[in-house]
Amino acid sequence: MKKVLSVALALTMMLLVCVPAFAATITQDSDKSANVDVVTKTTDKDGNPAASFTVTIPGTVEIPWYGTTGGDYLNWSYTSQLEIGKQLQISLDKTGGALTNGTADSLAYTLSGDAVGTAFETGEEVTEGTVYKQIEVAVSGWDDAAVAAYSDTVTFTVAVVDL
Amino acid sequence: MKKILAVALALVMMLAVCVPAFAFGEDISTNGGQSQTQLQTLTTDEEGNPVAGFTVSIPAAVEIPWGGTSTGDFLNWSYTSKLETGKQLSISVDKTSGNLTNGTDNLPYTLTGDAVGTAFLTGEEVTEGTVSKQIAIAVTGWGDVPVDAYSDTVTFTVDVVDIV
Repeated sequence: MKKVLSVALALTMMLLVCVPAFAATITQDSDKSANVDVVTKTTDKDGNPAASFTVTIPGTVEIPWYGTTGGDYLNWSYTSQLEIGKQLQISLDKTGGALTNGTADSLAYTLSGDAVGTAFETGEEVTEGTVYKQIEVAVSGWDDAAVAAYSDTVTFTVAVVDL
Repeated sequence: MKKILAVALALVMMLAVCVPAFAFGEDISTNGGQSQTQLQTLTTDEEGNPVAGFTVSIPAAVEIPWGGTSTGDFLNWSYTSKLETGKQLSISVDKTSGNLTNGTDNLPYTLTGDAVGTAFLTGEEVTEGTVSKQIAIAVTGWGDVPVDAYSDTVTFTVDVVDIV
């Protein structure tokens, strides 16, 4: 019996702690003013998280043999509208490598720019439109390799981190 | 002797002309007659409390999904009243627009509907049931600020005023 009473008492106390959000009423006997809080949610009308971002990278970067006079670039961009206190962190998996054709031949290349070597952090929750970035691709040894299609893969990684 | 009789006769005639005013609440004698009882309501109940009253119901909070709702976002409120003759409710909101804030950034908003800008007068003492009302809330600038909970407070004030 004591156990039943203890459980009942515990439940009663728990329910008292729960404070339901009731509507306010103004009557002839109450204060003549009452407040309504207008609050935004962090989810959209379908209940999906509203915070979002997009990092756009090309599927392929084609480099003419001997390269381009003005330089060859991997162009990428990003937009974000994140929750307060958050930013994007974008990084590449290499600072350089070798373009290969499946044989013993290869063309060495280096990468330079934001997100290369050190992760790039956007520094803000919300971008003003799309932010454009460039990574320079410098290929060398053009004269040492047979003319063919040489390739390598560069991987972007994006994370949402604290500011 | 004649004078005495004349005065007595005059008195008797005067008494006959007097139309008796039936008194309220007096016992009716066994010989017949009339008395009157007045039926009258009080403006207080059996416990002495004033009967006239009203209720204006407003939500404690209005939650707006990020980006707003396709069909609009609304503050729904309602009222009922049973007031004394010649009285009505005057209901007003303390602002027509403002900023939802998270302490850092702001989302501007505007309000439209009854009680916004101008006090809403109910125009009647007694409502037929509950009268429901809506105030539209239009928020802008969703794409300019970090996603967060932004808020502001809107205050309703109710008065009982004369019907003009």
